[in-house]
Amino acid sequence: MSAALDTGSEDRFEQCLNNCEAPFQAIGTPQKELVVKAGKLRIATFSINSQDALRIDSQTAEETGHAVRIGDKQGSLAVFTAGWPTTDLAHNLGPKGLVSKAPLQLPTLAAIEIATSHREPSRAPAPELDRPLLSEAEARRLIEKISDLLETEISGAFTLKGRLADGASETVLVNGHGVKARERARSSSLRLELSIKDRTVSAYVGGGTGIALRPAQTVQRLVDRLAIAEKAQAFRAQETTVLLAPEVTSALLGGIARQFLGSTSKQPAAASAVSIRDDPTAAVGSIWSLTDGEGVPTRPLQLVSNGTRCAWLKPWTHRGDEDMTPFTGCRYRASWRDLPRHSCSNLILEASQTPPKAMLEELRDGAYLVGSDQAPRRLPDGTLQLAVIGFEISQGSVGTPIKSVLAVPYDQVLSRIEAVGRDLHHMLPGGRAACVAAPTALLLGVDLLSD
Amino acid sequence: MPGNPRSPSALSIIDFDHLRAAHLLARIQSEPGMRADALFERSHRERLHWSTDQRPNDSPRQKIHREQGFVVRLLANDRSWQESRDSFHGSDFDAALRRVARSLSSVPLPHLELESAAWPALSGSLSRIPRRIEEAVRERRAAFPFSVELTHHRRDLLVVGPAILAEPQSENYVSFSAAIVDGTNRTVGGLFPLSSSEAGTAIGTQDRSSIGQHVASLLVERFRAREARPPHPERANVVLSPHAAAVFLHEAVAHALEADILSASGNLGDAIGLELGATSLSVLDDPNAAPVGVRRTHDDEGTPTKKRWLLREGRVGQPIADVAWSERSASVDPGCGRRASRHELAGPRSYFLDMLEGSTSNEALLSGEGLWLDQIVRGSLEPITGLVTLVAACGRRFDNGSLGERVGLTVVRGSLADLLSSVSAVGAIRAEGGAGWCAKGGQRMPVWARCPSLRLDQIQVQAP
Repeated sequence: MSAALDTGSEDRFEQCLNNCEAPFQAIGTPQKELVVKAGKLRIATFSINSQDALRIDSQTAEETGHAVRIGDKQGSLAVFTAGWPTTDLAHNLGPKGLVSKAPLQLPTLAAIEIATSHREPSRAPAPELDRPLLSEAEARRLIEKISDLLETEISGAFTLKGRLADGASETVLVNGHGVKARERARSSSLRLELSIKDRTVSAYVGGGTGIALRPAQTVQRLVDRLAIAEKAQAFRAQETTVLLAPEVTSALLGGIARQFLGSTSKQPAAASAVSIRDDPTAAVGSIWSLTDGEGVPTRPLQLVSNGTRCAWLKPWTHRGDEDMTPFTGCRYRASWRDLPRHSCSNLILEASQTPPKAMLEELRDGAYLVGSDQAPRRLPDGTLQLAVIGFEISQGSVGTPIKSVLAVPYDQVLSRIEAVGRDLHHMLPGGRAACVAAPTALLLGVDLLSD
Repeated sequence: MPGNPRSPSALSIIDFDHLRAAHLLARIQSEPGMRADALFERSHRERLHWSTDQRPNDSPRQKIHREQGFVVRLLANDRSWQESRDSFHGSDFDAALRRVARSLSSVPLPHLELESAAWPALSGSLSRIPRRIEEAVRERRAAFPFSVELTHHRRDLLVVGPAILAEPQSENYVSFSAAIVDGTNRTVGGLFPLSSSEAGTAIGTQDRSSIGQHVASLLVERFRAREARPPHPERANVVLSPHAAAVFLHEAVAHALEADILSASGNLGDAIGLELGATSLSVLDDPNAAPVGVRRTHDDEGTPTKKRWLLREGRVGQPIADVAWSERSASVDPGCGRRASRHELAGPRSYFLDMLEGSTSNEALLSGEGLWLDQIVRGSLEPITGLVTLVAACGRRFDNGSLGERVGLTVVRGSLADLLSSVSAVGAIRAEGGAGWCAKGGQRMPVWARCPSLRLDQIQVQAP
């Protein structure tokens, strides 16, 4: 992993690590960690006002930052500083009296070796890094294409704002136990604000190192969803059967992602149609990470196989636990400004060979749910709720557009999946949630509540 | 004017040759009508997390964020180009200038000497606040487990350009988020301006005590309303406390008059003079009148701030505009350009809403029956339709001057014209402080206000 960023930061990484070696060694505890990240982001923002006047803002942001953590069993301190680290690294950590009482334990070389032994030997590094960043002309053509699509499909609709971002970054981590890791990543995103019949809606799509941004498809999905939402009637049903489009399955799965962070013995049951894996380098994922935010090697992990829970995302800090699951890198940082958090990477509900069309044709009564623009909510009574839109299915026929709230017990989401389709799609929820990829899924015995 | 920027504890960013920077920026203004400027920024945030289950001798968990850098921008008609970097080096400034320039002669640019200053020492004064909160909760005869996250924000910035003579600006404030630890995720949050603009100084005793009292009062009220039920849908008289009124005015007046939002549904100039609300409503945006710790004489584009009448006796005075929007319409003035950081685009945003007080006493505001709302947790404005939504975490019913039964989560919803017209009385006492975080367009910024209580007659309230 030594390809240079087009920022020319390769030399600066080497230079800064050399400069910081002595000051880093001088910090008097082995529980110390330095993370340095440099990246470049290109953003094109297009805004249109009511007089159809177009404004274009072009930005390039070169961001550099470093994070230092020090501590021991009694306490720790985290300092996040913009710019390359300098030789006064230790001085900038401040007086010892401010060290907080959150213990810090960092991975050792021995732990890295164990994690590496469970990893498949050869995996390609993040691709596309040397591809030039998006040009302004390309961004403009893309936004115009989206605007045309929107205006053609929905009368009276127009784009208020489009923000297209494309970035590349590289991160280096060293800790006091001799652990070193180097990662690079690429990401792109599109945020749209649209005006549709006196209301504004926004849409977001992100792409990562492993997947390409497909803005036109996103807009097509958004347009379809808006067209349904416009005519949808409130709908309720108890213990009904629902067919979920990949977007809705992904949203629902995103709501239970935390289940995979706890020991398998405590995880709720899953139906035999369910096979789930977490894969930090999956081709359908937005994350591409060979090591996690503490330098521990990651690996694809089968979490559920045909309904059987077979592993959980066990962090290296739980290596002494009694269960036999080998630990893996699963503590990710949302950015260099954040501390590592135990989380999934790319969560994938594996597809079958069944065409979704056949699944729809087999459904006699229930609902076909095609969209959801909110994250699921877990209520204190243990119910997971998700606002959805779709179509009523009555006597095998697709009926009127509906809007409803899907309600299913949090612990029974996976046990109610009767079948999955072959149409695996990736979805990138906003914020820190893991990327979830899922196909069409058939769920039995769920409630649809009125909006 | 900020405190002594050369003080060792300050986030000094002015120790470089401004004139040379302005001269360099002038070189990239290659066509008439172009405007080049640069913003230099340093910020420092100390954040701690504390909870009542910590042992007495435990220190809170602490994180420190330090940011610095600059952005060079070139504006021309309906285009802009900007380059931002996390660095304080002359060579990076040169590179950014070249990247932004549309055309540049081959004559080498003179080098700008730019060096970062040392970071200020950590004050550590935040760590004394949680115990103040705990004491203040006990003074209110309440006891419950809670956690609190406190952040001391210090930001210095300076804008330089060929036609800009801006003073360095400082912001010095505390934000907080506290939660009652009982599994129900009841949280309170807010902002507190500090009484000193000197960015490097520790938080004073008086400020620490005031923050403690403020957070405790919010937490206790939230705790006491834990069993309260949301109101049934009804049309009711609603009295907004000064803090709730600040959120309401931020959504219904400030956002509605921001040039980018206003232009989505009409011509900027057409709004001026429009009757938008009751004649008792006179609202200004005046960053220069903000509390000392966050007072601003210039905006994030280096334009001097001014007293801007947003509403004068219910009629629209001036929309809120930045440089780019003021160039589009001769009827609006710049001075409200803000950006969350150097890596963001500047845009028109309000800063300090200052509403003139009325003459109605608190007792008179609470005459008859209705709902008193204080803790607004969320507000929004639908730009095209003008639909305003306010969500209050809790409130109380009032009956002929006295506060009674508590109510739970309450939603107020209505068109901004209806809500602003329904204002029937304005309180005589104003309160000053943070209105909250505004996240318009994904840029999260603090907003401040000085407002009296407002009474709105017969507006729609409902459960969420």
